[in-house]
Amino acid sequence: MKWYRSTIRLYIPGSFVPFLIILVIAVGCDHRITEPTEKEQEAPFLSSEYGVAPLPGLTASPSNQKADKDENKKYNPATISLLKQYIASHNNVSYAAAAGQWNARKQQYKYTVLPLYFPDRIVQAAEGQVIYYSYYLANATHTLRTLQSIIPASKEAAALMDQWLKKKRRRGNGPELDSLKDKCENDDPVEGTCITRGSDGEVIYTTCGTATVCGSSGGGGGGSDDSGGSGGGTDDGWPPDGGGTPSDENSGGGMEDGTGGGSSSNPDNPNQSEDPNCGVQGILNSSIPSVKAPTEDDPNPNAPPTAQPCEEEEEDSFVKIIIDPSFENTKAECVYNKLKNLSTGFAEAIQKFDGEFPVSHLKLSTNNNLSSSTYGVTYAPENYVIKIEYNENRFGNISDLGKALAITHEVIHAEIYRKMLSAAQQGDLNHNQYTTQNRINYVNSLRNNFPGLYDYYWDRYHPNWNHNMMASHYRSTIADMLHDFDNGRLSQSTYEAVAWAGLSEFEDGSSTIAWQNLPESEKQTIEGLINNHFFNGPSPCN
Amino acid sequence: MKNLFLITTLFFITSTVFGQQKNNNKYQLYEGGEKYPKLQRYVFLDEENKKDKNISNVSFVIGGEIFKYIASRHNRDTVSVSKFRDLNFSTIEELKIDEYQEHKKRTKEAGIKMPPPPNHYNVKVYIVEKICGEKAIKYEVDWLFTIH
Repeated sequence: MKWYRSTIRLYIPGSFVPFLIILVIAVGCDHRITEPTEKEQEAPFLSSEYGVAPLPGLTASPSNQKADKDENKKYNPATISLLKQYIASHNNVSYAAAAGQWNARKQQYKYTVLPLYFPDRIVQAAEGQVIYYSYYLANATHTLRTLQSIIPASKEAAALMDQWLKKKRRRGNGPELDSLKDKCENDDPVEGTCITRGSDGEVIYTTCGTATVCGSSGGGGGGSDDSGGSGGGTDDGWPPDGGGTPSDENSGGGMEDGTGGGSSSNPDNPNQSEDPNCGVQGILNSSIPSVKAPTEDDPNPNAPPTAQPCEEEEEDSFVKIIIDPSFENTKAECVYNKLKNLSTGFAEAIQKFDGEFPVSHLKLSTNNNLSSSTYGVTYAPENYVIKIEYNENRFGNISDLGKALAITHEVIHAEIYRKMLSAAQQGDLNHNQYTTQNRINYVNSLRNNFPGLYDYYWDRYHPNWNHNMMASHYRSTIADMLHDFDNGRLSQSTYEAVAWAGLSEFEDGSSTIAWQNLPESEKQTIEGLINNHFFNGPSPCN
Repeated sequence: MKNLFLITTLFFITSTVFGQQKNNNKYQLYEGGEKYPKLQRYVFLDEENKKDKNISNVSFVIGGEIFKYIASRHNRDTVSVSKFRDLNFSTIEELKIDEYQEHKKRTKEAGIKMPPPPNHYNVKVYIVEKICGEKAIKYEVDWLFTIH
């Protein structure tokens, strides 16, 4: 068997070349294959219709992930046309963006429009010319987001857009920003976003008026937060006790704010909603405002029209937390739903996967074939999806508090992976398959944005690094969640003891460093409390 | 012309399949880097372990670790019990140690500082299941990376 295989390997490559050439010729001769497809026959969108030709390089997605090479798909003529009409109908708006969110179930985009403002010198340099700028984002479930915009015909304007979408934002008070902010707040009667560059070169944006989709969310920008975190910069907040190295992986926030680039979907969707008041058509069909005085009923009468969500669209238009059918109507789901409704960290952690531009998706499922001593497992990310499996059989033998702990434990593993993915800007963490440049970017991003994580994983790697980090820096968070979940039925010290479950000793005899450092008497007390409350106690979800 | 096309296609498929098998037995520390042979390890499936079988896949849970045989991608072969001594079975703990030692050795050789990626990239595992009498089945599997 071995001999046969090696013989094939030796001889195939040499003989394969002429066959390949013949194959290529044979395929090339087939007229049916080379016949233009329906899409290729479509009339190309002429950039001259709206302004100067797109600048070289501008068509590239800000991120290199799954960037589509087909130039025809770069711009959506229909959306650009709508934007142009929008600009034409607003006297004080010269540039605008339409942020679209793909609803896979309804097979349509939900759009929101926001005006954009650029520094005067950029506007003047463009001499009234505009270009259109596109940005696509795809994820593992092939749900897509798009930002189509009309901006000044300037490389600098395009670069600002790139960075605005891609990089973290910081507050700044450069003179240019101040004047723009002033302009936003005092001169312009509509809401919008000013994009400029601070004195330190950082891209700054200021959202005027009510935040819109692009002004308040990750990929399109977000409130001007210092963290630079995901969308609204909430990355800093979970877990709350994660300060200082090596726990300060929470500082910095991140890159996961919707950079990602994209696939290129053609947002021209034939199945777009027929409802004239929703989706992109809703923008056009809304009345064109003239400047009006605010009233009690309408304090902001001059706000630009935004597309109203179509019916039921708000609820589940973009699936980020994927509930596997095996998870439905289980004990695990019962506890998960209770945890999700808490005001503490669990909901925040879950929202990271459920944000406007999540960097990864969380898939929840059950698997009763897991080891009999295993309550749950978290799989390494694959194609932007982090999968958790819970052992429903085992859940029948523990209290609801125990179940809540098991669910939280795995979600924290997933949260750690999510941060790593955001640093890697890849769909998996298999850095042995990255290019050298991608690996360097990954390490640098990990070090800069999540120094604690970098310290545990990269700098001082230990096979049990994940549990070591959790034991040292996430236990208080777990205890707080358990306290809230259990309505404070027990003392805080009991919840803190129960939080050690899964973070102390393991089947192979190893243990976490934090556990090793505990006095023996304390270990015994903790083990007693775990036995009393992890296994025994109220179990309404059973 | 048709025959030529068919032969070409057949050769193309064959070479692709064998080419993939060849690559499956090697790993790299980084894209474009040197290729090293994967460690080959055999794990015995005893009665305590779990096996979940459907039409095309078989999942094994051994010592908390999950292994998956996918019919379309992996080989499965019979093996005689008398050959067991040659297979030198590993425990899950030994697998983990060997995997990490291999990683440390190769990164040191290459002068690279990097932790192992979460994908069991440098070891090829076979699960051996005794079926009856002198016969056993050897499954080539993927070792799925999980944290508990």
